[in-house]
Amino acid sequence: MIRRPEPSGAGGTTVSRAIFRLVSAEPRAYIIAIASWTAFFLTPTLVALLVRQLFNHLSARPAALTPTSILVILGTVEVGRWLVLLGSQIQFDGLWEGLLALQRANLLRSLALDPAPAGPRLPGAPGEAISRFRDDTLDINRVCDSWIDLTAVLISTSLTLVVLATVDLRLTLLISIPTLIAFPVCRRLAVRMRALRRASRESTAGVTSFLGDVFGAVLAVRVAGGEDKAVERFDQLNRQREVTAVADQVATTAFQRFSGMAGEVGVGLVLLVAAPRLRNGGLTLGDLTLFISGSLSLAQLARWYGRIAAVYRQAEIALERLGALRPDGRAVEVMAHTPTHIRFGPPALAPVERQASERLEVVELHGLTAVHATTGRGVHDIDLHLPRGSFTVVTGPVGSGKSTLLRALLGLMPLTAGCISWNSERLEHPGLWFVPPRSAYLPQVPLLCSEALSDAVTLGHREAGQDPVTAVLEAVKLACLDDDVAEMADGLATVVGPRGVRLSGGQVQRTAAARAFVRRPELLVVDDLSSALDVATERRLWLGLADALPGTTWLVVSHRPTVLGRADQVLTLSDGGSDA
Amino acid sequence: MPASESTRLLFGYLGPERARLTVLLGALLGAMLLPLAGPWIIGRAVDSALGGADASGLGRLALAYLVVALASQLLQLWVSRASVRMAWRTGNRLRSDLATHVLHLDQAWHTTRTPGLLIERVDGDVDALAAFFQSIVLQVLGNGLLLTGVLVLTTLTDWRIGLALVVLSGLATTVLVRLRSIAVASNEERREAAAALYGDLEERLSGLEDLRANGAGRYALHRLLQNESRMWHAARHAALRGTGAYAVAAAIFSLGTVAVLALAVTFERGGRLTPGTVFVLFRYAQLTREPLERLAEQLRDMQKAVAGANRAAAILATTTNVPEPARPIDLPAGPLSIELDHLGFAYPDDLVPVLVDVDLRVGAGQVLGVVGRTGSGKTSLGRLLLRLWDPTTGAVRVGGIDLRDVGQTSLRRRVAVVTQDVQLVTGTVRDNVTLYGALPGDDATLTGLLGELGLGRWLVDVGGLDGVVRGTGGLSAGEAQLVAFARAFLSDPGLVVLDEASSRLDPVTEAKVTAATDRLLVGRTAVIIAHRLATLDRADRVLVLEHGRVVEEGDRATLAVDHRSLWAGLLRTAGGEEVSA
Repeated sequence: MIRRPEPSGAGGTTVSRAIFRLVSAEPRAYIIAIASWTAFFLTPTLVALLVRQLFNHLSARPAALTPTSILVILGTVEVGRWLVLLGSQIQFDGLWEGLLALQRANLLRSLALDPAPAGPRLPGAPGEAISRFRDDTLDINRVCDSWIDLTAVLISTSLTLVVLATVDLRLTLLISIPTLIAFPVCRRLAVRMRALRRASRESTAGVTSFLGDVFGAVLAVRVAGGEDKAVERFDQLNRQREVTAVADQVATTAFQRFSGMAGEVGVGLVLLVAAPRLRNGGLTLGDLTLFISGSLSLAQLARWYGRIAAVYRQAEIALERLGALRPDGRAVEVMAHTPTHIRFGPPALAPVERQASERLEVVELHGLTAVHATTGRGVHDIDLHLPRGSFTVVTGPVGSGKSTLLRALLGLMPLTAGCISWNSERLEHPGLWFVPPRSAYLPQVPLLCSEALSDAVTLGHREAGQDPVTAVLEAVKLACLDDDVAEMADGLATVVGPRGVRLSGGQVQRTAAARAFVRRPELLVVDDLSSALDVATERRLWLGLADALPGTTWLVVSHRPTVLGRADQVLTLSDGGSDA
Repeated sequence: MPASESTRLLFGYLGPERARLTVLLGALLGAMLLPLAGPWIIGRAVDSALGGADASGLGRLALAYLVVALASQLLQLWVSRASVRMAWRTGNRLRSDLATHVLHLDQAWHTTRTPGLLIERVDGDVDALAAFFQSIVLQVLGNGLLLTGVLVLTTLTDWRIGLALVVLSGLATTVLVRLRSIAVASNEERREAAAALYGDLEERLSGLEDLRANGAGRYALHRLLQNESRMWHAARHAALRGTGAYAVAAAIFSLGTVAVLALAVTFERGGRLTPGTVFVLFRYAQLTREPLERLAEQLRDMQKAVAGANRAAAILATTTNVPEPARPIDLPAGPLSIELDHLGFAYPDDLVPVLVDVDLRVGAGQVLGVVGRTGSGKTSLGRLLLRLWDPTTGAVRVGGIDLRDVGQTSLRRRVAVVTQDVQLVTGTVRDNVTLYGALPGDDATLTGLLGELGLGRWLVDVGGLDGVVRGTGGLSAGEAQLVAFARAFLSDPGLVVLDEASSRLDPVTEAKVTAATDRLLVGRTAVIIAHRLATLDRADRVLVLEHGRVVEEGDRATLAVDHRSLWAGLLRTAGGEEVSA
């Protein structure tokens, strides 16, 4: 649910503050960028001055330097300009990535490591979440970029105007007029353009998400013979997009042409007013060329103004969306100065240490209530006592809240009421607490990322004083995955996940099991295994576990008789409440 | 597919725009040649001013300049608008064809391509093509015209300087083109780094729950930072190569301008040129820079567009492995019999066959239960009955007709499947149940059906048939299954394939699904594929598969009481798994 933010005056200030925070993470690089781009933008003025000297020679006017020396300096400046560009571009592109990295790292840190559960903060589909990381951060970066451009343009334009004014003040004022008139017009055009841009983006998003849906559900569509209907809908969406996109693109071009026209009007004015003064020698030919090029470059300024306003508006929306990903909603924290190790990459992850105080004696749920925001369903007033080494099974019909209970315990969703205690101490942030080595989680629908199988099992987990390879092998064996691994060509190094080898549902489930086991947790929370494993495999899995993981406390969702059979206690849920 | 063929294929899409294209090019000619008059007018003004002309004459020249300059801008705007619209119209035609073609390709093709990739192919590549078309018109053609005009006019003014300008422009362009390939390669590196970063990030975000509860948050961050570092290096590298290439070309060109100026000044000193003409030549030399820059940019875009064009053409040329028969036959009405005639099947890239010599008959209206371990081939059997694949050996006959002879439309309507993972789309409930209107059913039918299946309360909660479903739509796994049942009901098939339909359900909801199954199976043939034996209570016949072979097949009741049969054996082992309802 993305709220459409209302335009507010305060918005611009928030953007500026956030951008300032962001660029102050790389102050030196930023200032260098500004300086180099200013130098780059100043070269045309320098060139114009030199050309003026040259043309003065042509009209037999006094000039400080000989034509040859002017030409030599001119050549040097022209070549130098491109060297400056190259240096500026390299430095800037690095800075650009660095600023993006900072934002993205902070976003991910907040989602993956903050106490509050990530679920409610993430937008509907992962595709939309990626849009935050990719597009919204880019929108913020564009403001940083436009600050550099604006500063460079302002400084170079001011200097240019000063130079022009020293030659002829009245003419300078004259050529400023078209640009000054252009400003408010450009501003109004820019507002219109923003609305058109937004409409265009929305219709594009509509098209791509439709395609994502159809291709994601391609089996269902094909089996129902719905290909043609789907294409009909696609055509309709494309036609809508065409309208908005054309309007958007034409508006952008019109905007550019308009500022171009302002420049030409300036040149016309120069011809009208300045050319006659060539006769009586009031103005030199060199001065004329100076003012013609001055007029053309001044007109560019109006274009910049519009661009910056548009960029700000987009950044406002982006900031709101990024802020929504944080539990405190403070977008400016996305710009916090955390190390990105961008040049040399991050240091290796530290191994996990077990603390004696973390030994589980008892976990208790007191009146735990957790309700989904969207559906209103969940669990109510659950009491549970899990002593060390116990095997607790949660069962009940679908919708009774079994998975919800597990997720609430692990801090993956917020509690509406009640509390959780560990060794009789109430937990403020279960989400931060219930992590390895204290607990591990085997969800009902585990997901694998595209990486080597051994990485998919460890996910960076390493214990001090333990050989990582042995640990993985043991865990894989416990999860009854060893036969499958033996059949894979690259064994544990096989790349699995969406962009790797496709594993069957059962293999994915067992990989997730290995992942939980390798962490040798105090508390093992297992959601329903029966969905992906057949009877025989599941039984084999449970058989091995009791002996291999002694001292583990189990909390398992199941309705299999074998599992229920070995339970020390069974919690039956129905409609969110426990059946006594 | 060779580049020329794909270009020809795609240029065919421009066919309907021929007339408009001609007008467009004519306008472009005007728009680009008008600006050439500008410097010439200024040159005249300078010379007449220096020569002592009167104010009114100069005033007329100034006015002429304004008219010419403004007219050019307006024409360019018109050309831009026309080319944008043309690009969208043509692009949408191509998108439609690509989408149609892709959707009709077989499952083999689809399993190896993610939705994200397909979006890139059907929409992203066309975007690149359309953008390139737009830019070809204005930027490449337009600037090409401008450049040619400048060079011609310069040569006409003074042939030596004209020659110099031609040579220098040629040199700068050659350098640009040669160095372009370097730029493209380094961009590839950057794109790959980006793809790795976003790909990994998207996967981590999808499994965020797993991450947090398994303490892998810092690992995800670690991976991100590694990818970011890679991006930083790739970006700077790309800048060095890309901008470096451009900078070299631009420097050559700039020196060229200085050279032109030097020549012009020398000739003026020699009395061969007027100061005004020097100014004109100088302006013309400056005018060549922007076109060259634009052309360079377009060369970069062209690479993307050409790659996209090749991919699009390749897709359009792909044929499905499951082709529509030349003379399609319709499946008969009513329940359909099944005949698997020495059926053998292996997936295209696999050496190990998934099904070997499966031979059985199921009468119309009967229910066949199929069991076997994961990997026994039972899922593939279901896929073959839906003709998502064609058998490698043998034949699949439904209603007495080989599926390869059955028309697509009839097949889709008369054979339905209820799968374990139900695919929902972001859209209205109606869209989801009827699949964008592919399945017939008016609102009353839909509401009634959903109510009967036990989704009445959900329907009200979500806002009726127009209510929007996002993600799982607030449906639990069990309820989502019922949507699949609704789709099957609307299809009114003669054969239903229930693929592990009841695996993820617990006793109470299973009762709902059981009721739905009972109703669905009335007057229809069914194949139930499951690994839970309780689901198969209603089967008339059973089939036990092991490594793709039939190890036992026959009447269920008979096999159940025969204690030597495998079926009876399986029932005994699973006996402890029966859960009281």
